[in-house]
Amino acid sequence: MRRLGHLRLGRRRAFFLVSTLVGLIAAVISISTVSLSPPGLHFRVLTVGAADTHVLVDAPPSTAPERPPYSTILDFDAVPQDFYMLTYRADLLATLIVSEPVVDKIAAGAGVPADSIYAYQSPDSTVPVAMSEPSNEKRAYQIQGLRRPNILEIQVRPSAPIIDIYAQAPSGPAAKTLADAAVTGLRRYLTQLGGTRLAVDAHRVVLHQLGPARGTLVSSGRKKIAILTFVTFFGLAWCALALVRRMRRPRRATVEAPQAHRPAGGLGAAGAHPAALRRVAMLRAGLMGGDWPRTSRVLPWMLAMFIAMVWLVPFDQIQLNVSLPITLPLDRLFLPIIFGVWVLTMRAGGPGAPKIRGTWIHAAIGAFGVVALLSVVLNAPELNHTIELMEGIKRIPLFASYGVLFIMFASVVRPSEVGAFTKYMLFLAVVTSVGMLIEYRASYNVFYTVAHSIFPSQLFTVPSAVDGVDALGRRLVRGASSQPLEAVAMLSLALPISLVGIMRAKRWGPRLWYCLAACLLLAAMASTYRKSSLIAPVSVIATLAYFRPRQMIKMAPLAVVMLGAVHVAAPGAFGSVTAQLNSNRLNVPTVSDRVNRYDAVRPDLWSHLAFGRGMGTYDHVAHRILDSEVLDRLIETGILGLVSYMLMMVATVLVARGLIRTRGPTVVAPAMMGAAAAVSFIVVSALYDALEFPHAPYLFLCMAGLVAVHASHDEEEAPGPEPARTHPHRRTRAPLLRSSREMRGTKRVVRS
Amino acid sequence: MEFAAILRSLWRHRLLSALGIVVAVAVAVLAVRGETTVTGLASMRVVVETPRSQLVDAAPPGSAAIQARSQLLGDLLATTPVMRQIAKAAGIPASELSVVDPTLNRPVVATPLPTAAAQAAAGQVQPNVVTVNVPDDTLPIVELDATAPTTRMAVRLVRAAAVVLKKVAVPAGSTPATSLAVRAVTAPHTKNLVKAPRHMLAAVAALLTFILWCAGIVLVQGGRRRRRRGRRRRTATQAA
Repeated sequence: MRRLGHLRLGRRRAFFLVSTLVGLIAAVISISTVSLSPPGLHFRVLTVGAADTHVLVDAPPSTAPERPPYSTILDFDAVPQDFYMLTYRADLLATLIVSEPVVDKIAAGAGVPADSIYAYQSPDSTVPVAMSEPSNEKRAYQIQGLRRPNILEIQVRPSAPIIDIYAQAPSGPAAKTLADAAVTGLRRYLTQLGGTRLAVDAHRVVLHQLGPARGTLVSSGRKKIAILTFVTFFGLAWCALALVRRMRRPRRATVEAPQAHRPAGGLGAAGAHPAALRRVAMLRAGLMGGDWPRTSRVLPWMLAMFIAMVWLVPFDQIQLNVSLPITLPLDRLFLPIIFGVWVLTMRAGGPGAPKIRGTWIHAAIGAFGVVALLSVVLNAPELNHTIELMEGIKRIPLFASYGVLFIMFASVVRPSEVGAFTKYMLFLAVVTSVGMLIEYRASYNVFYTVAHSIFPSQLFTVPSAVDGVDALGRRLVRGASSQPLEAVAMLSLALPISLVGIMRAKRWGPRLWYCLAACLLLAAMASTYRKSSLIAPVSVIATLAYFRPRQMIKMAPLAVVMLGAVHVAAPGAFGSVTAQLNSNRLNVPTVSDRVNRYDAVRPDLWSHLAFGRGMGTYDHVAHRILDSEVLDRLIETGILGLVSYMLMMVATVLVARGLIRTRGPTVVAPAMMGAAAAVSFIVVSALYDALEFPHAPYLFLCMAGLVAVHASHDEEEAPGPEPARTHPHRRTRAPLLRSSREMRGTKRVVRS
Repeated sequence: MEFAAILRSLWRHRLLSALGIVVAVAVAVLAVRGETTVTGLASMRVVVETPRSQLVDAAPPGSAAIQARSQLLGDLLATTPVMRQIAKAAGIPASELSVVDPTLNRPVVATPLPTAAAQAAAGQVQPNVVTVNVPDDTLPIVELDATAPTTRMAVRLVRAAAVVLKKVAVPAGSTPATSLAVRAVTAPHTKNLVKAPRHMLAAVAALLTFILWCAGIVLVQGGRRRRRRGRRRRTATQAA
């Protein structure tokens, strides 16, 4: 025993040493340049200083003899047009600063080579975004330019003749020097130009620098990048070693497992009678706190409350009024509490303690998390230079919260609770739909109004729902979400619950309730006036039709009734949505911009093909609005990120497909719901940046969690046949599946 | 049910849990300790007027653009020569004074570099700060706020800023009849800003410490139990 103990300690020590070594090597490489011939290690310059200064543009004093010698600002005879002219002149001068002759003078003034400065003007804030977004070529040049050590960004105030000069250099003083040099460089250039072209000096514009440049070091870089890289690679190395060890251990255990160890009538036994299994499960449920909602367990209730918050509260808009380095919306307040209770419950143990059982969905979500993290870590030096590293680091908790919710959901919820949870989610979706229909009809957002009255303004910032219209004149009906498209995505995730409910209901009463729910969901989606409100439900129906074509055909007459009901619930909404799909009306910015973006993002994609530029670092204000999660993933996490992102949904569909084929009576329904929700989430991911708005991702991960619950507990399910719906050739698969479950049951018994 | 298991774990280590209370109280005491700092604030409003007051005259010359002009006049206070004049009038070294326009601290387009530079600039303020602000876009009223170590110094600063603004508005060679006028609307208001350690923060810190302490106990105990169980299982396997 002592020897075994020593061995275990040795293995852990070896894990620690290997992981530390990997982490250290990665950390050193991340902050230095390694050269092989001659062999050497040079630390990179990773410090970033930033400074700003402002220049007020004034017209020269009048030279007319009857006018006092005032500049435009002081001349009380000046009219508003004179100030507009000054503002236009400021815009022109800003363009001049970034030109090559002025940059040469700036470089001379700052004492740096001219080719080490990249100067550019920010897009005009008064111009529509679609018109000011950089073109393909411009963006390619910008990517190259932003790698230079000295950067100047020039902006112009839209309503005042003021030029804002922002400078970046390897140190704070260097940045200040560069910002000041930009003003003197412009002055020198104007003086030179005036000397050659203007006879009268008095006509020259006057530049007032509003105070000397102020700034300091904004990122010391090296320590932050080294720690981030070390922690990431240490964790990855440890996980890889643990995975290898775990993969080797069960194989040995299976080989070594003697047949005599197999239990005669345990829960894993395939030959047990379903009724006996159910009795044992009920007994277990009684011992383990009962099933939700009749349970004494806290965690399912906490998760249920969290889901209610996701459906009914604009939680991502509500923020805690505390000055912290990261913003604290409601989900980041509650999720850590649930996570803490979950971890402690697992550690405290007991019969009701949640257990993590891995599925392919877990693996896919883990893979996406790893790629997302690597995309930030591998690009950390470059992101640090463009002052975007912190954006990437700040997004890690958001994406971690998605993964954490899924893992908790899959481990806390029991197979016997899945039905109750799906009904609960449908109920919440119906409440949301009713609220959205009220918003559609009365322009009154119940969710934001109630949130205003519930959350005290001293502690929380709660925004008001602005009842506006978008660029195409469509009203903003959004429920508890922040965007109508997000509301569509949420409701489309709940639509499969109602449709599968209609399919599987044995009596007319429940069937009618499910019909009503489906009608309300469809009507609420149509009330957003978004084309996606047709596309997303179609994807759900198509997925269900793939799995159950005959039943969907049987439901076809119901579609006519539903359309009528949608029209009654949201008059005019369906018509205006279908009208938008008319080929004559498809040439609108929301469509053409989306198409153009696929071409415009090429420079960003090719510059970081495999891992992207870093998760959460593509700023839509600084670069381009993408409105597509597919493009976001492609740019931020590269091809690997997009593949792993899609894999999350594909894994859900595949796992659900496997469960649907097992034909267990309680398994098929949630599996079909999960598969349809996953397909719907793939579709909406192409229509808007789905991960940026947390309502829909949380709900999708809950649905995926429900599939994972069944996938990880499938040996505990009674695989009852479905005689009426079973296809003849699939019956032959049941014994094979059962035998594979037997094998798994054997493995688990040996492991425990 | 889960909490029962957690509480059972804590009860098994009740002495250690009680020690957590002591640690939490210590953290609260440390959080409460700290210096109390006092900063003087002063605020004053001035109005930028046309030579013939627009309060009396229905359409005086220069009234059309007076609002835009008042904003730019306020901005002129931030130029180095004007700032030196304010420092001289207030009787402090120019190196200890900053004149800030809060609207300029917010970039028009919030891209990463301007945002970082604006934050860096906002952190580089001197002990004496004069903030120039136009509170209402439709009125030619400039608000002058000052932050200084004492309220007396803050008042001196806003008065000096108002005097210099008057001078800037009336350049050399002009007469009152042909130049803008700057008049005080209100007398300087003063306030002492006291920054003391917050008791609420200390309570939250203590609570968090105690929760983390208890969580640590449960986690360590769970880990030990798992290790023990694994050892027992290995022994059983070996015996089999």
